[in-house]
Amino acid sequence: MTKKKILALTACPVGIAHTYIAQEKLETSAKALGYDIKVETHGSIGLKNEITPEDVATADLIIVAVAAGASDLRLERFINKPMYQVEITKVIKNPDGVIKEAFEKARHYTINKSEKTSEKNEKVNDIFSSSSSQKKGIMKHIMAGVGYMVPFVVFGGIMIALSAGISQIIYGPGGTPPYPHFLWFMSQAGSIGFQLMIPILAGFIANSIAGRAALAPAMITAFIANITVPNPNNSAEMITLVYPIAGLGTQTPAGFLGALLIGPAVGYTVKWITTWKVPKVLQPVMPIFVIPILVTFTFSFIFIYAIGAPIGWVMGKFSQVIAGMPPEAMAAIGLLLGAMAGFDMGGPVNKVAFLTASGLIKTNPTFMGALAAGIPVAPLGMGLTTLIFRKHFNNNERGLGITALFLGMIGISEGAIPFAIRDPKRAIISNVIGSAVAGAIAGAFFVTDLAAHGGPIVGILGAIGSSKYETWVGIMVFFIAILVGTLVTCFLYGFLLTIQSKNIKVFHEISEWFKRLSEKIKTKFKKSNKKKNKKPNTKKHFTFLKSENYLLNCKFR
Amino acid sequence: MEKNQILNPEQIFLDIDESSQKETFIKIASVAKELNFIKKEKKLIKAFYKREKESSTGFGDGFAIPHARNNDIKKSGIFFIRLNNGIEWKALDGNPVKIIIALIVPLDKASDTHLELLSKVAQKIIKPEVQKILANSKDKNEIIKELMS
Repeated sequence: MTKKKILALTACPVGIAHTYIAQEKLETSAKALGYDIKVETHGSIGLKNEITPEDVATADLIIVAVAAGASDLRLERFINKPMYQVEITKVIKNPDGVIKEAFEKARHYTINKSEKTSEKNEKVNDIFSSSSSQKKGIMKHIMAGVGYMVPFVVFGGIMIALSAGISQIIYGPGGTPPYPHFLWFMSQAGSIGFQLMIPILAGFIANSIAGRAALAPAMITAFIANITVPNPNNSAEMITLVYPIAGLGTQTPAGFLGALLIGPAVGYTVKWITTWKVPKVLQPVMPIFVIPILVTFTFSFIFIYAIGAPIGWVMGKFSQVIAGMPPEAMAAIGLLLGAMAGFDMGGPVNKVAFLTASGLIKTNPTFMGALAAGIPVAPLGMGLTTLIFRKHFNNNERGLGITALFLGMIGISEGAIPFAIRDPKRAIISNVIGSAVAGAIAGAFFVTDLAAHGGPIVGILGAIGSSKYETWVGIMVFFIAILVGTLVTCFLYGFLLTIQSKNIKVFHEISEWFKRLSEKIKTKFKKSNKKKNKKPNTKKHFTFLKSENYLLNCKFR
Repeated sequence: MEKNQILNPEQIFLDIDESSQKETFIKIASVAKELNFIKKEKKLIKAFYKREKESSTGFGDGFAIPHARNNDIKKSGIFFIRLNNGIEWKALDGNPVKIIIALIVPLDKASDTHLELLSKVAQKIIKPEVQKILANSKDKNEIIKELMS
């Protein structure tokens, strides 16, 4: 009889030491116990000693030895193989024991089998599925999605910004290039980037939560939620893919907020489905037939029939209310429009404000004037924050900040989206307040904008004026409004980031202290006869913790 | 690659006294700072602590391998500290730690080659015969040879 063959995966948080120590220990123990073994290491060097499909075919046991939070292990390679999942520290501590236990306790792997084992083996194996890690984890999944989305934002934004900027110079404010023109193709290419970024965001959030099977359902649903198509009954009208309940359709696609709901919803649903007990013959077809068809269909049609119309109704009402506000209260209207633009940067709320204001350009262009001042504040404010409060951002984020500044100048607010997603509470609050301030200032001086576009560029290109004051006053106020709004956003966000880093430190100190206390009590309790005076030097400890924003940086990375 | 850039005799401290994990981290950081491996001591200490919080790097038998990888580290290095007394490290086997081998690597791509070297070091120091030499040798060059060869 041939030797039994073990395959193992090792991964640890930093990926320098334990990954390889575990590899060495497993190899040594397995050989001593008389098994063949191959260990695939997921360290910071990258994947080493990769397991091949032939390895999988001949393997008798899979050991997954990883620390919490390890990702991209591609466990679906091992469907239907006996698998045992274990904390990497246990392997280092007792490799022989782990191998023996693995042979006894391994269970056939179905996608997400970790949840079943963790029920059986209590806390030993719950490295993927504990509820607390799920809470912390959602932000991790969202950030994974953002990582995939960013290049789309950059390409789309730059293409649209360049083509919009140049064509407004050629064709006047609000001008768009005619069909066979190079700039037309350029702006179309850019808007494809923007269209794709929403499904990419939703898809890769879901992918991060539940693996490959969740990608298609989330992408398709998010695309459906975000697309507009020509009305087949009236090709001049663009409609969303939402069933109009009692005539209530919606003009506004779901944007990135929609993606932020759809991605996790699909992801966790797929994750739950994979815990179902299905007959063995059905297991292989679950991820390729059952999940894509069932989940995609369910979520898409929930959106089309149940969710879209109520949202559309609320949006419609909103639009009516804004349009119906007394024109004298322009400062208040500006405040509201600005706030809406800063809230979701090109998302549904922004779109409602935009559709309302641009629809009124011919009768009352002050609505558009206030909105045009609010639009660029979020990207400009976020961009400026990365320059002034540098230490809170890593290099990538600073690069994104520059892109956001550029996009803001051209009136493309989408540049702020990555910032809003990675830190929604603080960034959106800052964006809304800054944009509202800009909108209110512009509104108070009855700034008008004759182009259905915003940002400093429309001021430079001469679309700006004022319905109550001289044109030059309107232009000046327009720029002041943008500047003040941007500064408000920037310093508010910088302030919130600083506060947050302090808070975390305080929290960290307290939890450290509790840990030490409980440990002290434990050791005293255990070894009451063996008293060692190892008091931690608390004073030094505290000064040490009062240093830079390290923790914040960690969180951002 | 010149190995002696990573571990030199002045990065080795044999049979010294440190009272705690924290003191040890401070010691390593101050040496690293002095030898121009890092920019800020506090950042390295925090990175060590962060790693320890994930799970202890004390892998048993009195050995610990704290390690860090961040932007603040300028070049890769190993720091070897052997203590007279054992200190608490929440090690996997619960025993106090006497030998601390700290690994630090910068975040840049060029250091990826060092990662390989450090992972080899990590594998080496769990072997009983290597551990024996590291625990007893009085010769810094012997320790370097043992770890880097």
